[in-house]
Amino acid sequence: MGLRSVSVIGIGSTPFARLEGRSLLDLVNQACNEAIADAHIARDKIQSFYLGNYSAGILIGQETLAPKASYGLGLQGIPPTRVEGACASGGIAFRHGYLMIATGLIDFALVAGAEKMTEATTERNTAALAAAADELENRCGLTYAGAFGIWAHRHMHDYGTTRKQIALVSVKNKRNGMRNPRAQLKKEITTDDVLNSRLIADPLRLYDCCPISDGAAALVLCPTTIAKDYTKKPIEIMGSGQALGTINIYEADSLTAFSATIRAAKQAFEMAGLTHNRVDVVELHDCFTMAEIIDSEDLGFFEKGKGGPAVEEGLTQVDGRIPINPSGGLLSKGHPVGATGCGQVYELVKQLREEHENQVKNAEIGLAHNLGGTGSVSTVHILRRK
Amino acid sequence: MKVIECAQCHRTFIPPKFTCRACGHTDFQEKEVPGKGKIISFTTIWVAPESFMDQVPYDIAVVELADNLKITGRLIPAGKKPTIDAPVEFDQKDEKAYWFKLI
Repeated sequence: MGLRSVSVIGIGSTPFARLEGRSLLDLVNQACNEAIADAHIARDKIQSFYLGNYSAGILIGQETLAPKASYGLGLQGIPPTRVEGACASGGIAFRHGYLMIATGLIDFALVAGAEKMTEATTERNTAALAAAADELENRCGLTYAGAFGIWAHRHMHDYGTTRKQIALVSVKNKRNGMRNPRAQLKKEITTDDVLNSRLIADPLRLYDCCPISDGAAALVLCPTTIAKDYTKKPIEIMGSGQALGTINIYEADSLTAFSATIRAAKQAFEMAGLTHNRVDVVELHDCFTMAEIIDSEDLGFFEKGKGGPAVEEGLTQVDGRIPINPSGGLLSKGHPVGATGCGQVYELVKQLREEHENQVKNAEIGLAHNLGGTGSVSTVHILRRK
Repeated sequence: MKVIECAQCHRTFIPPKFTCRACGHTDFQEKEVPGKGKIISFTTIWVAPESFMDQVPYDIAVVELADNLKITGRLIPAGKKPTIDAPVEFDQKDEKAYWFKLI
């Protein structure tokens, strides 16, 4: 296809947390300035800006965010673009920054993801989340926790996945998050804590769910051929995939897999020219505990139905065969919706630079997986240390 | 139970479509199907959106009818926990949901 190789040369992130008194643009500004400084480039080098944001219109009454954010950063005349794909907004923004450079249109892109959620009223948060759901499922009172409850029951029924295995995802990710200064929930918890927390949507309980968060993350990209002029540790994007799934639960062929993830992963692995065996570290979309088990199977790391036992056997721990979410994932790190996809790439770049606070040993190749809506859209990116 | 059928390929859908996902045709007609089916999965909602909080806990099920036609709907409270494969029957459709009862 004649695509150029592209690398990440700069990263920046706010903590993911309840960041009281700080506006969305303030958070974007911090993450972007950090990424620009980390890339050691003058900001007038940046030729394009992509921002992943889900719902600033409903949550904080702000639109036209990409021009506002890039203007606020002192960028001049560049094309500013906001993209939206619910919880996958950040991954989609990253892919578009990547494509602009890979296709040779530009040399330097700034990509960010951001969301400001914690100061919006419950009513607005509910309305914003509902806006991503299928109208019919939304009207009957289904929530996202409920959707994952439905998928969990079917997975347990078909494969014998146990409630304990599902809970262990939360125990692992919260333990990982304790070492991550950017994580929102830093708390050691036990399986019993998960199983005794209050029911949200049967069989899922409070500790099966990620928190509502504020945050922003940003990345600077350029062609790999010149990346070493800016950083000693460029991280190459080997593969990028994005795919549509179904936009509701009832029309999906399977209640135990997300076709969007399977398709996006296939694209990314084919582009990278490798298989899942070569991946050393994974940041995937664990908005709920059950999501991590399904995602880990859809991405090919485990056979369908073996994701639960894999957690129980410790295969996904930071020292396991395939470490998943050493950052703490969405469950511990938090889920500022539009920021999450860029936050995952931020965490992976730190892993591949061997600079992470919860470092996976000898991590050379990493995979980031972002999922939006009711399994509606997914992105997968494969990165490696050059 | 009323559903929508593509006028060209006769594929059935429950919520109306603008374009048939099977053949791309854009004309549809109503069709009556038997409302008997089974639960293929379910959840019980304990924390609901504000406008539903007075109803918790409530059951939501994905129901499979004949011809692989599936729909997400509400279960009429029956004092028993839903299970996968439990038979259900369509009861009514209102402004909120397709309602099913356990049989």
